[in-house]
Amino acid sequence: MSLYPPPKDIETEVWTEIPDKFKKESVRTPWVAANKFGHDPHSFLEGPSFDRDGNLYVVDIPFGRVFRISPDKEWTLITEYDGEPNGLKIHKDGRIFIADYKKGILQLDPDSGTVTPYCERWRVESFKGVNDLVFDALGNMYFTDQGLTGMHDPSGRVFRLSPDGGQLDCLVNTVPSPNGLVPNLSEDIIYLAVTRANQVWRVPLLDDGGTAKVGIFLQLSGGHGGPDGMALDADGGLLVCHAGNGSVWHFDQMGEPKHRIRSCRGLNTTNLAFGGSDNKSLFITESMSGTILRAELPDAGKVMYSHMD
Amino acid sequence: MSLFPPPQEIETTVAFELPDNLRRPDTYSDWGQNNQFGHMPDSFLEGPSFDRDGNLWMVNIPFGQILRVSATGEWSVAAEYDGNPNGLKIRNDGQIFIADYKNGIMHLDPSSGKVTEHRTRIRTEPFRGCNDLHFASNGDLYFTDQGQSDMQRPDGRVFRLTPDEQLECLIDCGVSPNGLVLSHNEKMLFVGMTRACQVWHIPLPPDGGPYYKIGVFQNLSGGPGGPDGMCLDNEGNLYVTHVGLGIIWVFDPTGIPLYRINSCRGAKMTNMAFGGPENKSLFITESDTGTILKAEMPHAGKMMYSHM
Repeated sequence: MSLYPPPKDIETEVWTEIPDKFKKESVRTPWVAANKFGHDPHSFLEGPSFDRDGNLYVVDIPFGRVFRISPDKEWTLITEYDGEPNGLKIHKDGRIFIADYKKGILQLDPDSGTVTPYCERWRVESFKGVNDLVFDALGNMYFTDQGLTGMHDPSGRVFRLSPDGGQLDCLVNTVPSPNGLVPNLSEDIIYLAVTRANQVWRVPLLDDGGTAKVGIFLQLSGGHGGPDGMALDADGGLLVCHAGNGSVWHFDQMGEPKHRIRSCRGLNTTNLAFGGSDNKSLFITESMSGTILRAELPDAGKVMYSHMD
Repeated sequence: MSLFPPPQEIETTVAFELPDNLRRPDTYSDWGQNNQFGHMPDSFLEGPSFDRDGNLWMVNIPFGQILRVSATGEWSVAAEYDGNPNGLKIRNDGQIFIADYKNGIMHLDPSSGKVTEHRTRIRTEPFRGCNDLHFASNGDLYFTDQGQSDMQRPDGRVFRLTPDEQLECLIDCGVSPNGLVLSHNEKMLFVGMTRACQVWHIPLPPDGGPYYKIGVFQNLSGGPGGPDGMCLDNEGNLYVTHVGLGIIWVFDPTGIPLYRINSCRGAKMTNMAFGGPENKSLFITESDTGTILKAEMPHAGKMMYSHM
């Protein structure tokens, strides 16, 4: 089926799991009703991001929670608010930003747990439902506005918010479910996970601030979801969480498959972050079981904006 | 493209062949003219479905025929009418329903052989060209309105017709919607999009439409056709005929390729039905040669509505 040889398997292990005291019992939130027909999850973890002290932050979408997991795997509830936090990234000055499906881009004070609006609307129009975000080296924030778009309604968007938060530009508005996103090494392309098309797109970033020649980089198959969270390795290779079949695909810079990182738990491998002492460990949210999986890779991850000087 | 290892191959044998007296060589049909570009097929078998007595029913598209072959290989013409019957499924009371490319959804009473209109229009507008149909366990009838939709005109439709005659359009952006089948738990509808060479999935919210998060389940490649008829086995594995390539792909519920079933005849394996004593034999229409092929599978087929 594949035009390339099947990639090499890499196994995962359970690193930590949401403690029982944080599991919610059968609460059918609006997000759950729309996204998980007939199934009431106790949590839905996403948005893994490390701070400089090695703490891992994760969000819990249906219950509006953000957790901090210490290096020795202690879970702390940082906040619980009226929202659906879907993605989380940390600014190099320590500020924490959330892509909230219900409320737009929010800012979280990790000490007080206070959540404040940062970019709630485009002009005065609400977003469809933002999914994930990423910073480039200059501090621009790119985020996806996914909503319930799909093959029937390819109207999802990618926005860029300037470092001072003052200017919001829409780069593309024709996407069947834009999800995770990450710039390439030279930051002249945004790789964009397009969940319902089961594809990863490339969105070139032009000097004039616009885009052109938006194209398909990778065509995947299978899984009842599709490409979700993504990360870059230090050589420019791309890691793509494939929600719905329990895999993370690792492609080299040209798009040739290198590794299939296989979940040892559920199929909802939704997002990932590099960490560990040499930044070669991959931490993956498996959202159905509320688990953080860990895999050891031969390659290190690219340094995130949160860790840049 | 799949990144998974190549699936295990399974071979087919010839089970039945359309007898010469039921073939119409060198006979013009407008369906043949428009779909086979000048080639005049002597038949085009589709819509294989078993009844409870083990007879295999099927359609012969260009000549408006409903055919039946018994377990011992005796063929008969159950009906012949002015139409292009493209898909056929049997209701749990034994009544037969046809997705007719020319007329819409038709009803065949197997006792009289009479074909009548069941649902042929949306309000007063005819369908563009119905291709295939599938019953849910509650009697809801899902069907595709394919017409000539394609990559330049992605306006193919998928409908649901309830037992109390409510008609609902699920999507109207299909790229040649063709075969369709519900997932094992009936929470998802798989639809073969022939011209996109894709299989899409449509989540079915418990409270009905509007429908959203419609996605691509499989990106296939190759063949002058694309995904055609589909079915499910008891494990929830999905079977996809790849017309023009002479292959049926079998995917596990998460989309990983399990098997590749190869045609021992032509490249037009168009549709299939599970049958045989343990329901583990897959009977396949190979439409180029008017043949029913058979493959022995490790799993039994999912019970059809006709047998519930």
